[in-house]
Amino acid sequence: MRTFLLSLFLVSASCSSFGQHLIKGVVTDAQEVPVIGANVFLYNTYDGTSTEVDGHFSFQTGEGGAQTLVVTYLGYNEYRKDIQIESDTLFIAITLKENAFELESVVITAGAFEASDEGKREVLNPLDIVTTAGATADIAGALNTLPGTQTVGESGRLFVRGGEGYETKTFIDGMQVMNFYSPSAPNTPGRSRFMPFMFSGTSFSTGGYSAEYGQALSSALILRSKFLATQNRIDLSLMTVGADAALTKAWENSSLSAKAQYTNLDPYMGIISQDLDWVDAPTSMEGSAAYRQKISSTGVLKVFGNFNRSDFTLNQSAIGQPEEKTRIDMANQYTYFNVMAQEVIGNDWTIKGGVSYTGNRDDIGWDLDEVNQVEKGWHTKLVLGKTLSGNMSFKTGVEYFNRHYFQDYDSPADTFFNRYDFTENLGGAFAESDIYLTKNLLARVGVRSEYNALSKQFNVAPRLSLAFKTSEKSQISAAYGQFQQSAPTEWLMVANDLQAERADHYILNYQISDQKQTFRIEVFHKRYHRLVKFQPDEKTAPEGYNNSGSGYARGFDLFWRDSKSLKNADYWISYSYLDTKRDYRDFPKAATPSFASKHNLSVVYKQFINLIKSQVGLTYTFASGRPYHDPNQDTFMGQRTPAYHDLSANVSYLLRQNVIIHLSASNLLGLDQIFGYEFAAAPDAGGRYDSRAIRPPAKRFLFLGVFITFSKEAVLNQLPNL
Amino acid sequence: MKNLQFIICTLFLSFTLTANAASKYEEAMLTAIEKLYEAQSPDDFQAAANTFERIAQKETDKWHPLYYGAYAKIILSTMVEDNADKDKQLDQALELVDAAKALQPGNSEIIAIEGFVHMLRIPIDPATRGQQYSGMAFGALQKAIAINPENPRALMLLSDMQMGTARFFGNGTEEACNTLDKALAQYETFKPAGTLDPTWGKSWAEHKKAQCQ
Repeated sequence: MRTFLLSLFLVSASCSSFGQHLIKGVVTDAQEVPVIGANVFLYNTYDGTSTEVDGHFSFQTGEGGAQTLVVTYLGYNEYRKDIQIESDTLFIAITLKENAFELESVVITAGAFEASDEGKREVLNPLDIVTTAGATADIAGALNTLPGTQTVGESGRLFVRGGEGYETKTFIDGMQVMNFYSPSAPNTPGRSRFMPFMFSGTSFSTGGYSAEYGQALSSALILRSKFLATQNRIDLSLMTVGADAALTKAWENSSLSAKAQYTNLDPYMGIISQDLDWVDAPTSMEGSAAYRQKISSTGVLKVFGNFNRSDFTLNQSAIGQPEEKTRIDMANQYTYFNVMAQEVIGNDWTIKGGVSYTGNRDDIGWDLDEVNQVEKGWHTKLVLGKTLSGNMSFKTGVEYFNRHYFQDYDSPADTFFNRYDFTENLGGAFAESDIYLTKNLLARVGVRSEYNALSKQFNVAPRLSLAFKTSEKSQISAAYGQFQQSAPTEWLMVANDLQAERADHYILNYQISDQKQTFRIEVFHKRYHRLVKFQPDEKTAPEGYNNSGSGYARGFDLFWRDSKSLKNADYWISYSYLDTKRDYRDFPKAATPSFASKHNLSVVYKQFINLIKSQVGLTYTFASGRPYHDPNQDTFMGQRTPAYHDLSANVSYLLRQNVIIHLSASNLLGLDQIFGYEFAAAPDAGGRYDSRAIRPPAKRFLFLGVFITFSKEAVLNQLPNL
Repeated sequence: MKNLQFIICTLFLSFTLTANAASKYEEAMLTAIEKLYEAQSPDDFQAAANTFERIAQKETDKWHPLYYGAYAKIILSTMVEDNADKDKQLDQALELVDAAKALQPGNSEIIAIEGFVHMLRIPIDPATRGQQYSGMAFGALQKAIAINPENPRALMLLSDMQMGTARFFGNGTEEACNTLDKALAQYETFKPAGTLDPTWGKSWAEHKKAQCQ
């Protein structure tokens, strides 16, 4: 018995070594650096091991014959090799290829400011946008504290690097948004129509952006909306300017949010005296809804709709004649909807399609005269994308824009009626590829072509970006591109055959950053071609217009952000230097336009104070004097406004877990802010043109709001919305 | 002689293989789980995650290797410095959790570590992520507790979330401590349903208890 057991033991012991093979080897990357902790195994067996500190591995296997050796490691392409296990020992040297897309070792930063909550290496996140003092939770307001923008206080729009407001286009989930800003009273900043909390990611490009986006000369603001809401909640807001209520319902694979908002500035304007003679201060009603659905494990459907109606009435006095007043009535109706679906189809192709519609109607009364303008635009788009290997991805798409515009001018007193209108059909196609030439060198090569049936113009525009990683934390990035945009609507409606305007961008960027500090410097040069020009006295005739204008903008930006050095505090400093001249519109010669100031500086500071459970923010903005033309002087655009200074502050106080009180004020120091001067159309008896300074209608804007959130967990509040 | 040895071995092996087909998996898993519970360094956790990945690619209908692979990745995410790397580990953990959920829908333990993944997203950028991920973490943990009110790990993770929330808002920690007491009570009586089912977390819960006194 004993002998039997012994022999059985011996048999089993020798069996476990019989037919055993030793597989050894080493795993390195392309630079022959050992890869530590890689998983090495035979496919469909338990046999395998992890690589050691020197990249070596060895393991025993009872398997023989034809096998597949697999090596996996995060950030590298999976390695597979068919091997024959015959000899007792097998040595295999393996080189893993980096999957540059997973490693994200280098990203294109030229002209791009990314803000997202995905935790990647962005410069800003969405919360930064909504907690910036002076921005009053407005997307454009916050982005205006970044380098590359100019302070144009009477507009509120994004004026980027010598470009006008219309040269910045907005896209939500890749789809065009027209009339992104609400109408505003004279010399008050217009606000973006969409609330920042709708978006999980913001990409603000100050030039050189992707071939996917067209019809923007200077800048693209690319907003990515949030996906599924995960919890039921009710949000209520009570503000000095109105109230709103939002309801969110979440299911397993879908969610629905709806919001209603009412704003009325009458009470506020009644308390805080205004420089404007309001008959009826701005009032608006808005409803919006967002539906989200997971259509499969990889598929996404987003539907968003927004409807807004706003109006105001005021009496505006003539320059130099305060008694002579014109009654201005403004009513605006706005509709926007956007449907977007995305799915992964066989072989890792991503397909994305969308439709957006914008409808905008303005009814403006000037005493008895009336101007009605209506713009309706459709945008449809289909994009296919694929990652071809660990080092190359590719996307291509087609899109179609249809836009109809008309403007009626009706003057009953003069029995005069005029209509200007046009319909624009524009088809576009693009292709773009991201190629990691090495782990540290990324190239983005793109081309975009468009055909515009209105101007009968076909064009092909190249785009190219490069990024090179110079050290662990720093990189250099460069971008070049050609950008086209249809002539501005106000001229195109008169002269339907105006060609698209064009801008060429050249950008060079250096960035050094770790997780809490970022420094970047960017140098840019932009050339404008085919800008619209017209004769001042022939503005009503198509013949008075042509595309012979041109211009340039050049300069540099500096940006420093630090959320490390000071406890519970975060600040950033942006400086932009701009040198720009244009010969466009009715300019007699090339000159710096009135919206461009040479120096712009923003300092944004935020501090969380635990003791009072509050976040306090301060923003200082400086802009050097802006040019204006004084008809009493000989030099065209020879005058400069005084420099602009503003110090704004806000405080968010967490009363309870779900209740926030928010207070903000602009121009704390009460400084005189002058955006420019306007002049009477005709000289007075003494031959002088009367002038009037363009100022904000009140020294300060004050805001007080209470924001309450009800949810099952009570951990939610509206802090991210403020 | 060699031939004879081959025949005997083949017979012997085929005998043990048939008898232990199930237990070879179990044996491999038990060894791997033991190693995981003993792991200290990031390399140990990486090696453990690799072992579970190897078992999972063979045993495509088993959820345990996916579960423990995810757990190893979760712990690994707390040991790496760079925030982007933390997210990458958590992304991988979530992929494994999703795969495990597909094999075993409505399993309290799997849903509990899904909550764990969401929870660890928060400290990477609390101000921005707090709201979204705390909602997701609470949602998953409460679902795990609804399925099995006696799951000590789900209770302990929930008390962690409650503790973090109370601290962030400067509120009292009674609720968190009550939940922790429930978790500790469940750890005392908890018996895993199967030999491969998770048992981790007791000493961690006891360590947490100190914060409640």
